[in-house]
Amino acid sequence: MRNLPALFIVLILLVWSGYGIGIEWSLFKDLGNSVRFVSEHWFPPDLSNSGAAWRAMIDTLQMALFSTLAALVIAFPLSFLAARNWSPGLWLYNGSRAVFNFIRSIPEIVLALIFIPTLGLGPLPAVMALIIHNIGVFGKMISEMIEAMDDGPLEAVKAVGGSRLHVAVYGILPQMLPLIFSQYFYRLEVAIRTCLVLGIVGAGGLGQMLYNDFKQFMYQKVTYEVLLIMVLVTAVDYTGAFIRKRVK
Amino acid sequence: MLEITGLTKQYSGEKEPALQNISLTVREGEFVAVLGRSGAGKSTMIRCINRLVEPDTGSIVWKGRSITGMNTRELRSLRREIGFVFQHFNLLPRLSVLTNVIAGRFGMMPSWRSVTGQFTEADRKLALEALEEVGLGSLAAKRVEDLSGGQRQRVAIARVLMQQPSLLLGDEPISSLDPVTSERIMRYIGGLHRERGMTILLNLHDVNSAKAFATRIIGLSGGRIVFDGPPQQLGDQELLQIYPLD
Repeated sequence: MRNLPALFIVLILLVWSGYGIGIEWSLFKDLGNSVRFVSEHWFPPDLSNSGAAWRAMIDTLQMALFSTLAALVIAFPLSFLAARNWSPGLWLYNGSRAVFNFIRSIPEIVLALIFIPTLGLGPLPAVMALIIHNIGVFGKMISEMIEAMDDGPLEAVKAVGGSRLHVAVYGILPQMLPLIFSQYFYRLEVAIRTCLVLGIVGAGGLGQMLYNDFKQFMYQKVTYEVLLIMVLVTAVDYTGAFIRKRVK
Repeated sequence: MLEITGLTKQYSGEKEPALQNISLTVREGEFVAVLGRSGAGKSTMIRCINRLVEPDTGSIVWKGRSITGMNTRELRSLRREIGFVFQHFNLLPRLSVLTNVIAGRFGMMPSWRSVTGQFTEADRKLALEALEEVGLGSLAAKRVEDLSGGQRQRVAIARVLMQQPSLLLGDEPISSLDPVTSERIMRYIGGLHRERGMTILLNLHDVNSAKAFATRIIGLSGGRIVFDGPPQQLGDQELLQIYPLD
């Protein structure tokens, strides 16, 4: 029963946080309100704006793709500096790690709001926010992947007199590639959802369309937009699975 | 000649040093097998020689050059001339057998060229020859994941052949192989010794292989040398010193 104290702590945290958010079971007696709201107002989906909605979906996908790919390209070389088993110097290691942690700690919505005065409304502030945030995320993820690599191939490349670059390209990269793909697709999915939320601050795409329609009580349009989001996320998920299967 | 003097290594967080004041001279052309229990310091000693592990104190001199005093650049050029075979083969995953063999020449290639995978025809030809020599010429295009343990170690030996080293180090190269495959790998290594005159220094778990192939046996226990002599001198008494009972 060594786990008993841990279980106890989890219980205390659950009660403490639940109390804090004012959870009250009796409120859920009126769950019927939500069911009625959806069933009476959200169906059938309104397809009248279908063309615009599809274009908005593509916009959202492009925003998420561009920002995650750009972030990956920037973070990838930097994350080698932030990996203890590759970094050429302690100050580079600590410095790059600190930068990753700092930029990851800034919420994306704050970054987007900061960029609006410069870039105006539209996708760009959201894209910048996503790039910056994802550099931090990829940097941390990839550098920790590098640190978790099997030492063997690294040792082998060093032992034949290979350079640090050889170690990275032949010792580390091939081991890491499948992991990078699977993490990338996960981050792409997260970025799509963030893009939707950033629609609230005028980032365009499906998120903004959904938010606007919701504010104008056009719930049947919202239904169609939600369906498109599901299509998009599912498509990304299947593409990711397909590529993961290929890269082994 | 390989001269090790006063070699000491203590890993941080460990109570006992891994190596305590090791001194050892290996003449060129010797085949030295290093025996000892797990944790006796065998891996540390062999890895100090090409500085995969940084020694704390002591000096290592190979053919008149001080390995312990080398900077990064000198160390790289030294490592080209020293082959190394590992217990777990340490091939480069997800790459072809041929690329793995070509890797033996990384130390001799300009980085920009090899990093983009643009190997010369000469490199490919040499790699194929090395593969033929270990009997794996037909597997050049295979990925290393498709190979058996014994085949992988032969690829690792082909990688060593690419380096054309004068010294071969090995950290238990047969410990994860079955007896028949082990015998075969030991015969390859024995061939490198006899036919190419390589100086060989191997950590081994298997006393019989050591006796059958080595010209000299070193016993390590608790980070110190407790036996040093020809295989004929290794009797039960000596073995008890190398492998003390708890």
